[in-house]
Amino acid sequence: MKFRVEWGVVAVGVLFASLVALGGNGYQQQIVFSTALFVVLAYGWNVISGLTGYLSFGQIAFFGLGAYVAVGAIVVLRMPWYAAAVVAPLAAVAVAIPLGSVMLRLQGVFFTLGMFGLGRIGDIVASSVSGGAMGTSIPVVATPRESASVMIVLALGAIVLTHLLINSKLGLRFMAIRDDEHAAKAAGVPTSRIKVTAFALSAALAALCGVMYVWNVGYLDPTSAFSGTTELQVVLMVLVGGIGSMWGPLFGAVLIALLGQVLWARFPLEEQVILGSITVLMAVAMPGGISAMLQARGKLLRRPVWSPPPAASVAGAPARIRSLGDGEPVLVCEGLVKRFGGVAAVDGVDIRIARAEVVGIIGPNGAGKSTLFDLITGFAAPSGGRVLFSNVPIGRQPPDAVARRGIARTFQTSRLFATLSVWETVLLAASSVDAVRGAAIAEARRILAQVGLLDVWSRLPEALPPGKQRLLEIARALALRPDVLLLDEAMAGMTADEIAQVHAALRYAVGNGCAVVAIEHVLPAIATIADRVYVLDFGTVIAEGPPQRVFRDPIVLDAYIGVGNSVLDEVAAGGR
Amino acid sequence: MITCLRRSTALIALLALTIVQTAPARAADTIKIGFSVSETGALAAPSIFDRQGYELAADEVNAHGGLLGKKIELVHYDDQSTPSTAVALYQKLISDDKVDLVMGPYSSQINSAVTPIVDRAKLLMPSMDANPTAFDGSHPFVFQAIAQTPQYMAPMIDFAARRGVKTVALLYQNSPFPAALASGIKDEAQKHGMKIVFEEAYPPATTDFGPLLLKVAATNPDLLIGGTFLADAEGIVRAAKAQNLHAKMYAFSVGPVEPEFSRALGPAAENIFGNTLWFPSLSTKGNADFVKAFRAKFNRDPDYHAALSYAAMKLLTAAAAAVGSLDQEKIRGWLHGRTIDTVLGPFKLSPTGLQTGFSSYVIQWQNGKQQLVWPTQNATGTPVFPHPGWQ
Amino acid sequence: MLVTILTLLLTGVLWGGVYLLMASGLNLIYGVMKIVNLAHGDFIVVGGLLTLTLFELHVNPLAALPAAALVMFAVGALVQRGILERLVAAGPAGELRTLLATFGMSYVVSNVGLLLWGAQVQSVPFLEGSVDLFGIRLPENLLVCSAVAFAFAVAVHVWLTKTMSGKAVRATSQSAVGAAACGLSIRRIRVLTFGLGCAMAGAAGSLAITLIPFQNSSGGPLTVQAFTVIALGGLGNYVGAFLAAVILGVAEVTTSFVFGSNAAAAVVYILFILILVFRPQGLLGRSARV
Repeated sequence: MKFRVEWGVVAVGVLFASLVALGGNGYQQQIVFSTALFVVLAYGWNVISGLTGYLSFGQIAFFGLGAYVAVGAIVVLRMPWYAAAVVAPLAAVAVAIPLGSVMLRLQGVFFTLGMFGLGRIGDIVASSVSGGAMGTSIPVVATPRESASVMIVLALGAIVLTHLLINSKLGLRFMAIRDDEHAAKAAGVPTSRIKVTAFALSAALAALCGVMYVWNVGYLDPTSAFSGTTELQVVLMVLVGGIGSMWGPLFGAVLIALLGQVLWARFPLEEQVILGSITVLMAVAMPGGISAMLQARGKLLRRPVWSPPPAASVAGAPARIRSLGDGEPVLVCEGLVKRFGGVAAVDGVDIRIARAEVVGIIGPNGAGKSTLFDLITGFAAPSGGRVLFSNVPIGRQPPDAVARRGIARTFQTSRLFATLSVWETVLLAASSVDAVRGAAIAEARRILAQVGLLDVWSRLPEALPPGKQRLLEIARALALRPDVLLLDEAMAGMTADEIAQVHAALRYAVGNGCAVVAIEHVLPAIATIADRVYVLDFGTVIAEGPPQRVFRDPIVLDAYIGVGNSVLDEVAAGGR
Repeated sequence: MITCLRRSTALIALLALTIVQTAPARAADTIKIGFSVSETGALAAPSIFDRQGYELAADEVNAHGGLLGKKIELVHYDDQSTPSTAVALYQKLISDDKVDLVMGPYSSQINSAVTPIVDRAKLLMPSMDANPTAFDGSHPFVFQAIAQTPQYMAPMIDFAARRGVKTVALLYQNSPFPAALASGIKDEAQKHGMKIVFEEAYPPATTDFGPLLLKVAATNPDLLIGGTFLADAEGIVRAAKAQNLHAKMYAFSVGPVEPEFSRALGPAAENIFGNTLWFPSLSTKGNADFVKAFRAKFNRDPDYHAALSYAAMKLLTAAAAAVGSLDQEKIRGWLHGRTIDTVLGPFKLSPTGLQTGFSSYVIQWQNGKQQLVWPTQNATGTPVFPHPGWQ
Repeated sequence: MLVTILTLLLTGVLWGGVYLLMASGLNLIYGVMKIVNLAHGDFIVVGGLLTLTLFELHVNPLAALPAAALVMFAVGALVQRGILERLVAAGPAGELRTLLATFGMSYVVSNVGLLLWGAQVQSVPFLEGSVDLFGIRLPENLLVCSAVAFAFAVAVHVWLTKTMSGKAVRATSQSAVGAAACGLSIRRIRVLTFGLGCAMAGAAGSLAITLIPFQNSSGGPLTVQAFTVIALGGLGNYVGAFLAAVILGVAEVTTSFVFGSNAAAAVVYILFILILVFRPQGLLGRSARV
């Protein structure tokens, strides 16, 4: 119901703007045009910087590119403007894909600055071609009415596009990457490809704006095409409205564009001080913008993707069963070594895990257990040795590919998606292995019911107690329908009930052929379910075998458990 | 939900008011003259002289009873040295402020950007675009209120040729005005049998001219001439001095005309030549009064940009007064049909709007002051040639 | 020919000194606080314009340098204390917010520069002669400025490595928590560091304005240039920055000579992108890849 109101407001706004576009005087039409232009620019920027979390200060490079391609198309190839409006975004995408593949490998600041540098390069390149810094006059120019009208349509299109995105699997993946890229990979999201998609989408929208700008003004020079001030304005708009939100760009664009009209005429010299100061203020005091303010009051909250979960459990998809010869291990580590500088965190580890086996990995801190998991799942590359999964080497596959192939993991410190609900977290993983929407939904629901999180499906991780957070991570891993599940101290901090619930879920997974490898310090918890236990110390396996035997091994007692540890009695009492 | 809808509609109404508010009522008892200047950005220094020229002219007209019985009101904005901003501003001036007359902004590229707008609106504009290409008859409502670029450097080259200069190194900024100047220079040099031994264009944002001058030095030119604005002229001189270049003559456009040139370069500015379209000592009509009035109002001497804008405003208002109305066609006809004396000399338009009356002069910095040194009939000082070496 | 090559090389190295000073402040700030101050170039410009004002009051630029540096120190300390301190606690999201804040600051500073000093391009005429070194002609002011710049940068490096307070700063950059556990006032160190970084920017500006003209909007390209130097050298690495500055200086000068000024303008940015793509950790730094 809430949604209707927003769209109603948008409809009224569009109606009003259209009236001005059709009937106002030239200057008012120009205001409508430039406001709508900024709306599209803002939504475009929001895709890569807001939804996906890669802050780009160089989107203007694509705006300029689009503008220059449009000029080329119109002047040299004599295309009509609407053809240029298709060609330019395509050109931008063609540039964005290879560029993005390279730039998006960079961490935060580097990416931001790299893009900023690109904006400046665009300016310089443009200055040396097509008439130099003077700019070019374009013979085809729109009347303010034409350009305002078309721009309104495009603005509406940008809003609808964002709405569709935010409610789609693609948008979900964007947001997961923004929240925690590592965890997204572990959930099977092909992050490189998805990031480039976001980047290309932003580029296309920016380029489209470039074309419209050229069509409206009828003149193009490098300074305007690659204007730093425009970039600043767009950044500020999205920031004010609420970066990464659905309605933020609209609020921000309309507010700042109209504010700018008033300010700029009265205080032409102080425009940048004002814009800059507001940016600083927003960054410090209100980083979430107006949207965050409203959301804190419960308004305009984002509805989780593909929600609510279906009422009854639909017949789940069968577990994936790999055809393996009997007795073939599902996971093998041969002589794995991992060095960090002079230290070998993992120093020659051999492990064999059979299908549907439950194996514990224990050992003192710093023994290399988590590093081992990183090596198995592709988060780290081995310095020596190899990992075989179903007899096929993992090689240099990225973590998301490993996850989709069937090795799922949890993290020692929970890595959850701050802005995604419980439902969406599990759905994300389920949809990584199930292209069909219905199947993914069904699987996600089943898992949530299994681990007992269905009643809190709409909550954000921060609203869950620590035990349930860990449960959520396990659920996310299970949703990948893995053949091997790696749990990294998953049961730390859980209540007895929660541990029981985890055990039940694991038993179900094992029943479907999934092997479980669990790093644990809570020995009673692992003793009751593990078939075998490996003991790691200083990066090597010092003992291996059924828990009862291993826990009494003098080497293990010496290295880890300690003689006379009462835990052993607990373990014995638990019995197996 | 209803409250939300109500509140949002109220918000939209508020925003609507902002738009509506931007269409102010017309005061019927003034004549509005609109233009933009580059208050900020790379072209600011000469552009501000432009604005001051307009302001002084408007003041004088108002002091003598105004135009057509009404006071002149100037409406101007800052185009930030950016052509597309200027375009938006002129659209605003025309549709929103509803000005009666328009004046041209500074610099050839900005003028050429706004030309289509003004022409479409059928408003006559005295253009400060020095490049002749825009005045081919396709935009009848603009006319050139500034001398044409090809003629700018003619006296300079003429002077150089008479002093036996044979080889020329040409540097110019990669923007329309300097580029047009450069081609004019090359033509003139060819006519006088001089050889261009080095030629290179540089991007507008260049700050370090060291390597460029290194290349120039290798060719040992008699004359180092630049199609420049202010910053680059300064940079080139600095680099030339740092290299201890031994040319016989150094000449630049725009830069040496600005008082800032000497202030920024100190002794290095001595004996540098520049070209100007106007000089305070010219005995043109009303010049002495103009200089005095400008000094009194703005506390500094005018430069040729101020003279140009002053003349343009005076011309346009005189034309409107002469035809007795604001009819742009009639004003246009009046301006095209005659030679008018201004502070810059005779103003005369070709049928397509090219300026054929204004001339160019050569100045030189001597002892911290500008002297007009060529042609001799207007000179205030004797030229120092060859360049006596860097101080 | 040889003379030309040597001239180019030497000029490039001298410019390297100036670039080094411009970049060192940014390097210091990044090293300690992992903040890229996008307003850094604008602080350089303000330092230069302050020197201009003092020059008009007949103060020699070299004498004006400490004054400009001090003023910028105060400005930097205030900015850190008043604005950036609030963003420290916020973690990786904080990094983004800080970027946004300094992005906005950049525009505020350049606009303030406009309001105080106007829009025109300005420079300070100082030591405009040249020196003849075995047939190689070098501009006097470049020699002097470069010498001062190198000296300053070296002094800061010595301070960082040999003095207690310098070591405290480095400790904080390596582990804020550890440093705090040792009883150091992290906040005071951050304020000191940011202030010092801005002071170095101001000093660089003082020198640079005698070499190239400044306009209030000249800051942006200077920031990219400074960042290119430190990225090439390895973020936070001082020896690397030195190497990188010299390489950049020589590259720019040579490119301008061989390919013309258009190419030279682009060389900074191209180098920048190339580094980011092929060796983001710089010559001597640690990895920057996701």
